[in-house]
Amino acid sequence: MTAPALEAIFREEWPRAVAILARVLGDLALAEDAVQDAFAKALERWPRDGTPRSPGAWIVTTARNRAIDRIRRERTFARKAELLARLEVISTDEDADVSTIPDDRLALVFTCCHPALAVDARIALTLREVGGLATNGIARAFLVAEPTMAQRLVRAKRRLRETGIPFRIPPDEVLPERVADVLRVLYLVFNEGYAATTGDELVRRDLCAEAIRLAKLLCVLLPDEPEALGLLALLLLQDSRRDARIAPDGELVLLADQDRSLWDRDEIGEGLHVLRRAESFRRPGPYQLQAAIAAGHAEGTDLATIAAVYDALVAVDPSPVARLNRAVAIALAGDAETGLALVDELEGLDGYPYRHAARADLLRRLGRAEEAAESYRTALALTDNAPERRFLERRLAELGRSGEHREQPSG
Amino acid sequence: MEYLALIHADEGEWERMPQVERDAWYEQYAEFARAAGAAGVLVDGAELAATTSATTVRVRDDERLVSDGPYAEVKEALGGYFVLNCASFDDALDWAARIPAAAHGAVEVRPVHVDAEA
Amino acid sequence: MRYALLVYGDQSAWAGLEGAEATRRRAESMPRWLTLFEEMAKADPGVAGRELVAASEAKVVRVVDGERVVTDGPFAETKEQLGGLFVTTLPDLDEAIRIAALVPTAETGSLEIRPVVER
Repeated sequence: MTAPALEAIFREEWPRAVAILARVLGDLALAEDAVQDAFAKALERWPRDGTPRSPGAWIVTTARNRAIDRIRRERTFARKAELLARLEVISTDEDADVSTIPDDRLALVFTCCHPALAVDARIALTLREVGGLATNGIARAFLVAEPTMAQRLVRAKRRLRETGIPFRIPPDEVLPERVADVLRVLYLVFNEGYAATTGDELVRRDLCAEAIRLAKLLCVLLPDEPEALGLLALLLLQDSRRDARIAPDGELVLLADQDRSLWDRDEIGEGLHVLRRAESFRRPGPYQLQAAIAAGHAEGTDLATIAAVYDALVAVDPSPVARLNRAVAIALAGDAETGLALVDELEGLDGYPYRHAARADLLRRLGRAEEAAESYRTALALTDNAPERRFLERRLAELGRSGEHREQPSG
Repeated sequence: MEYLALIHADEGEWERMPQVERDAWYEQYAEFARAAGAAGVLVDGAELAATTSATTVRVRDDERLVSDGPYAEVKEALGGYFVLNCASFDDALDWAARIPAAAHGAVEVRPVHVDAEA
Repeated sequence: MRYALLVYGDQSAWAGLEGAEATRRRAESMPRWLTLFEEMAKADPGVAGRELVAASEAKVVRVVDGERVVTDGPFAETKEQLGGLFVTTLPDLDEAIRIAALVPTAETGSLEIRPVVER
């Protein structure tokens, strides 16, 4: 068995095995340790004895036996007896068809994205347990030391146990908000790989690919949820522009100035296809609408039509950030005055650099250079992302000296 | 009349404590509970898990907001309480002073509200 | 699992009120509290709850060098103050969150959920 083939099995079977053991044991940490043991054993056995007929069932059965060993070793008597009894429900047939094993992966996703966990804990847990990423890989992607990430995961798993976060698919009355929580975690994972400009480019590319892979899994597990498809479409469409977004010299390139031959046509095609499937449900939501906007840009739709989609987006998501984007779209579609008025109306975004950058850009278009310079400077003071800073500085310099004297103290 | 004795102590210190030391504290608490029980003062009590396992819930505009962590981050967090049945506030303060945490943390004493018509 | 639900509310809103006005407000929110009590009893017939008098009435006891030292006022001067607590046995945190969100104070203040240590 080749290493890539083993890796593929690992990625597929890891969440399935972790999920079933976590559900049965009610303890994610113990489940993960047992599955980890089972994969270590596979790594040693399979190359020598050949891949078992049903790798998934082999892993689950082996993990079950490893869990028994661990429980016998570590637990107090009452707890031991209870956990061992629970493991009885898992089949001992390592040749069983994997489809006979209950699929608890969706419950695993909801548990890892539970709102009672800190957001960074949700992201780390989702990548580790659902994505099957190694701790050092997650640490590298988030630019933290490996022990820090390991500690974060240990704390998150302890918190799951101590607070009594249940391992299950949430009941209907809270399902929509919990689905939104899951989608948000995947979007954050993607953005970490997409928007961050520090760190290893390859690592960040992998993180985007992982977010897309997880979104695909979620679409399989939640086939009737158009927003899951909407998120997947959005990620694919954004990812398709990744190579055009940063110039070879590391500078940020705005959408309008991007070299379209660098866009990934296959990924755009896939994104559009997924978006059409989402839209066939006729239940629009924020991710589908954002994907529709991204699709509009990919297909060269006129800016007025795109601005109209922003109207629909603000109707379902009246957040200040969505309203800011709508204002910019209106301005780009030709009405800079209205766009600027809408930007000035926004409240609660004073610390958000993009608000000031957008305002600066509109003022620049309207020829109000001094005010534009002022806003560019405010945006600069709020951002520490290097390519974004260079972009803002370039724009500020282009305004010429007209805005400069305002920086002098007026006495 | 019922009084609530709210126990505030440095939970970091508690977490770092070796088990034997912790057991010794538990024994002191058991002793307090025995004495208060024998005097007919102890009604109820509980030890709360550390604030790392706290979850805070708010409802704003009909939307449920869930966050991890306690309502307020204070160095000496609420770690448990006793419900004491005492004849007077002063008696309750006397009993509260006998709670082990009074020596290294603080015990807040609050009368339990009784409805006027009750 | 046993949970303590700690009810934190802004008590200054009540402090300035005349007796009659306070009584009226209390009566006004009563139906929602009754709904809560009903739901709580359904989830756990053994639920126990206690409402506290205003935090301004609190006293803090410390023992310093063997001496009882009493100071006025609550332990922490936070905007929202502990106004009461419930202790209840529930299947999991989701159920505790559901119940906590039913407490009328959750709309203006905060509900803190803490597991109770079982020994």
